[in-house]
Amino acid sequence: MTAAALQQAHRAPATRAQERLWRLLLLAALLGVVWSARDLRWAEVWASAGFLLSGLATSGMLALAAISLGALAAVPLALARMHAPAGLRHAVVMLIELVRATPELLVIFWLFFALPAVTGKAVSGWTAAVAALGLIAAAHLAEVVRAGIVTVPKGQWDAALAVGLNPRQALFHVVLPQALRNMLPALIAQLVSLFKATSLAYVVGVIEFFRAVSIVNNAVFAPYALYLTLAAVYLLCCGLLTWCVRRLDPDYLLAS
Amino acid sequence: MTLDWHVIWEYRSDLLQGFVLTLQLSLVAIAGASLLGTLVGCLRASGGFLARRLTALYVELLRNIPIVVKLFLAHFILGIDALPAGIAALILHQSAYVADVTAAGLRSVPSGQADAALALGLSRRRSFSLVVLPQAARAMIPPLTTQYTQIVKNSSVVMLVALQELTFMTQRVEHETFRGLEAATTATILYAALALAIAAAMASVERALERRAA
Amino acid sequence: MTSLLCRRVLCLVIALGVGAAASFAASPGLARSTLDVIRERGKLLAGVRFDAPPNGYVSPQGEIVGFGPDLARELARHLGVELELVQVTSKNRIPLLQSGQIDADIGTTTPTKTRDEVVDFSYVYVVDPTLILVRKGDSTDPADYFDSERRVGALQGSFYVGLWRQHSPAARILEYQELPELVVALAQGKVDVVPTMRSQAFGILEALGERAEGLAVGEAFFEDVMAIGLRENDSDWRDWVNWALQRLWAEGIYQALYKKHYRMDPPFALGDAGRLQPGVDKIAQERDPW
Repeated sequence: MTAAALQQAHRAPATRAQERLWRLLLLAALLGVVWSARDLRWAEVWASAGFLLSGLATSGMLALAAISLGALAAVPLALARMHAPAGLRHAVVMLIELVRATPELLVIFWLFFALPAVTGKAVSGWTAAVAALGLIAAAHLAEVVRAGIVTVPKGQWDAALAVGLNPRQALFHVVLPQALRNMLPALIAQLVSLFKATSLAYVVGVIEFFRAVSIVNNAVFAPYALYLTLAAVYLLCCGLLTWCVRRLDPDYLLAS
Repeated sequence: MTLDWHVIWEYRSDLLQGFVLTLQLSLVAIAGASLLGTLVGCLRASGGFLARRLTALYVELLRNIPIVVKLFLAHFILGIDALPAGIAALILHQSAYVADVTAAGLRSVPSGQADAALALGLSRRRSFSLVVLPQAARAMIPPLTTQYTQIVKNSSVVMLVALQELTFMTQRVEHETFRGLEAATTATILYAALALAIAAAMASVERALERRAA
Repeated sequence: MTSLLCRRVLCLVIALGVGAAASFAASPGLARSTLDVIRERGKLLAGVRFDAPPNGYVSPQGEIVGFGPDLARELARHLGVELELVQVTSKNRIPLLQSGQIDADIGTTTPTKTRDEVVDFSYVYVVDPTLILVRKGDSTDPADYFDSERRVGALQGSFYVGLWRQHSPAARILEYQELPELVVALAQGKVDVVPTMRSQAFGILEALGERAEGLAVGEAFFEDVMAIGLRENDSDWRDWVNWALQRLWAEGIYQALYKKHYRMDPPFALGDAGRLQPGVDKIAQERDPW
């Protein structure tokens, strides 16, 4: 049994009555919030619902594009971190550390200005935002991929080689798939974090959810209703994803 | 496109002032979030039913609601002054993550340790503080370092209530001179330096803990 | 530990190095006039505000409306190209213009010398008196707020910060990021006076409806002008834009649009002291599209 399961057994299990009481309390609290918010200017929010939803869709697409890019880039980064010659390895480590230490806003801002200088062509705000968020995701996920690969039991590797696969086949067909399965909670957690970071893409002109709320607010001046909507939507989206993480692996957070 | 680093020199007092405010905010928030988060995390891992459920709700709510919303709630709805509101929002936000880290850290200590301590005659409180917590602390150091770096990065949110920290000053340089790249680079270096200092401090704490355990 | 420290210090040095290297990298130079670029592209990229009624804002149906967008539509029509409206904010209007993401900034930008050094401006196209927003019951005379202990609220990067400092060098100015927060701060007593443009002041009161009870509009103390931002040293494009504005004025379309959004006739004369050149409706050069 794992340490967590042992500790679960030590604590007194919740009785059905306690569970029911707790759920009732939560429902009452939710109804209380809804009741006290009934006088806010919901008409304006409802009228702009289409615009807000399109902003939310943009946020979602940004986050998904960034996580795909980041997950793809994280694998070579992690492999370079583990097996590359010393010079390349240090460069990769320094890149990862720098990206992790820089505020996301500045990474987006920086790429928006630096990319045209390097490629000689102007880049759209969307491109800069996806590139920046993808870079951030890759930097965070590289560590996760490395941990994922390391935790695959060495026996798997040995067995693969014994069966006759060469090292590259062993890596891609046996070790990596298992490592990626280990990584799933971390991937989803990173998606949550990226979703929240998309609110910073406004500096390069992308109209995502946070900016859409701000624009509507500038037109109708209904801050309470709008920011409550903002909180509720983020709570719903991020809460759902985080719940998935906890279901998959309650001990995930120790590795982060 | 040529860079003009002269503007950074011209605005050095503004940028320094902003950096100092960011530093102060970060340090206070780190202390507050650590205290509050550890407390909540301990309750989360080993409290009674109600304590566990309440702290789970606390963590879920505070993790998933954007920090901007918490800041506006504190400043515009509850009427708290800008600086205390900013610190409160930072502490509340990060304490949820620290609580998760603490709970996970406590769960990772094999329960045999607590049992052995009790068997040796230590009280529940002493077995927790002398045996379980120090071992959990060692496991918690790396994720805590990440959280502290997050606090530094999140500190820029207070510019939304007109506090003039580093990102605000970076924007001021950009608005008045249009040297966005120079300003962004300088700010990046300053933030990275702060994160570096924190990581170095935490690494020395980790070494101190290892020496004590050895 | 020292190796960790060294590694991370190296990190910072590299950041500096990359920043310095970027300064020597080639930038997307402007080889041709924007006019040619637009006609080749078949599309006008017009930067307009999405958050500044009545100059540019988003209707509840999600359409971008206002004086700026309408003017942009006229310009695109006469250029014979499609129109794409790109969002600008006070943070990104200059960078977007410099990098070529927009061809013109048709927003609420006041031409100042500092800005003129990096971009060029068309004729003044909007004149909006600067007045103050205060709480009901407080003095409506701006002079009462100069050199006093009263706190001033403004948007970071807006022209009014410098303007207020000219009148009141030692003022305590709180700089916010968005207008709604600024208005709430005024209503709640966190600031005492907010200098803003006349059109925006009345727009705010209208949007607030009955919640505008606690606010009042004070007197004007400055006449703020706005111009269309264009890329630096792009004379052909700037000449065409100025020309287009004059022709729209001659046709009366300009005044009609102005009245529609600002609810008043333009309180100024467009162009060279109001004297439109004779024969302004005739094309001067073959290349000038209309």
